Amino acid sequence: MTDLTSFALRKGEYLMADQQELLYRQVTIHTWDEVNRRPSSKAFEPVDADNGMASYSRESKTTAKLARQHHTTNAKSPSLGVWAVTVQEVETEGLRAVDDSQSTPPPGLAQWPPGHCFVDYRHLQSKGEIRTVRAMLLAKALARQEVPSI
Amino acid sequence: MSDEESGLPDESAGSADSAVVGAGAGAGTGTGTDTDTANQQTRRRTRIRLDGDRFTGKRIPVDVTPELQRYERLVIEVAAQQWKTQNPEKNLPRFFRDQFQLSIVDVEDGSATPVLERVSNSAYDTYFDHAAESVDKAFEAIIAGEEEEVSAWVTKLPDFRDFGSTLEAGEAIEFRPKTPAVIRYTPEIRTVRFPKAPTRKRAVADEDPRALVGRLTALDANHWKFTLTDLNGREVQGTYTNPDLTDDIKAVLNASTVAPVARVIAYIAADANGQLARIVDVESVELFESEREPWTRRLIELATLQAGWSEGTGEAIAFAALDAVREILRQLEVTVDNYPGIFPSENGGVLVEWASIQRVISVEVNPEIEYSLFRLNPEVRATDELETRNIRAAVDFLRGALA
Repeated sequence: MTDLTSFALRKGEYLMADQQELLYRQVTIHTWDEVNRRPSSKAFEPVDADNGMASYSRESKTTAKLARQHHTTNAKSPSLGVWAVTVQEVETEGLRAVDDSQSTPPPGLAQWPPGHCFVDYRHLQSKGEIRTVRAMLLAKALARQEVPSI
Repeated sequence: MSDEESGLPDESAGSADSAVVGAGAGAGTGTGTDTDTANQQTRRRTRIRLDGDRFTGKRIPVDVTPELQRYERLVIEVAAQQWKTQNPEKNLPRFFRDQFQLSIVDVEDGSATPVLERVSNSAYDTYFDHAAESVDKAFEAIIAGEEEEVSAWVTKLPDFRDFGSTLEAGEAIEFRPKTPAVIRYTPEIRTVRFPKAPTRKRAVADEDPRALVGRLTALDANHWKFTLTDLNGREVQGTYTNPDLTDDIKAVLNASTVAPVARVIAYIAADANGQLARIVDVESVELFESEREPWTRRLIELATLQAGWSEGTGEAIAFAALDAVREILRQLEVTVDNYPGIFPSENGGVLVEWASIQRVISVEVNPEIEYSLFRLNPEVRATDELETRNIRAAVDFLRGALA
């Protein structure tokens, strides 16, 4: 594991303080188990295109319903449901919950989705570490059950 | 610091270039990459000359800029392959591909010569430098008619096959311009070397091949025609030009399975609505044994995923990984009571996962059929892990975890 602090926060990014705040995660078809009606642990990790920063939405700045609608309207794959973990659960796994809504969006994105934040996986190098972290977040999300979003 | 961390190639392993592209008689001439060895600062610059009337006065039509993007992607893919070759026991470092980026820092005259500079300074720069040389040598071999000197996986890269497709007759792209070792690539050479690759003039066909999944139901070997019935029962007519494929198609048709499913990597023609109209040519045919089992539908869903299924990235799922997953599920005698989630992995593998609040158990199979076993007790954050190539060991691990 690389030192987390080696990835300095950029201008417009800050750590989320409220440990109990929920982070909403949109679950799409490739990470959804239709038979058992639950997400994969993969739903909680970044995809390659995320460059180690998995996108979530802040409970304090948007609702699960609005976040889901925005995702379905703008993303390639529609959201099939919203699941959540807390800032504390993220930090317990050695990750950071970062609000980047005031930072400059990446090329091709006019503005961040409402309440955008990310869970920072960039310091995790081994597949084993990532596998454990994402599974822990899945277990926490399953305990919380799906967040109503319709 | 480990090799992976340092990113340094194993110098004792010989030329990484020849290992990847197999460059032989047609390679190794001139200056290697287009570099100015007199100045270390310019070692990271590459000149690619665009020759033709459209490029006079240092003009670069926007239509032609995809060639520079293809070149960048080629260097990245070759570098990644070189890294994997030299580090066979390791996974490609996360963000390896992000470590390389070219920028146009100047355009020199004659006709137009964009000067490309590598932006990054990463631990993997040595790989990217070698890769750039390998790409040059691969084109050199192709131009010389020595395709056999270039590794097959290189010539199958869409960016390699399509390189130069925006050029018009009489135009050329030159590597190492204005040196004795200049490499001049023209549309005419490309057409001869890659006759099956679609060109811009084939307006009805996709530029890149697609993965189609269905049942091969008829073959006319004399006329190199076949019929593919998709999973909704719709028949699509296809043709192919590679005679070797006749045996592959026959093998699928003669499979022991009642209704064999195959994945066909093909260039397709679409109708006015963008729907598949016919199969213009085939690159490969692969059998996917398909018995009617509880997980068959899900595995076929994964088999139909196109490259880029995950936000633009994500490899097509390897049939070998799907076969391995099916065998594991059979041996575990999975039933509806312990049915797992089955998910695609971006590397072309498959994740099988049994998840609950009390435990998360999984096996991830990569395209090389390596099994990553995992068991987690979230309450105490205790994990068991196993990496193996042995399916029996994988099944034993899962049996113990699921008990």
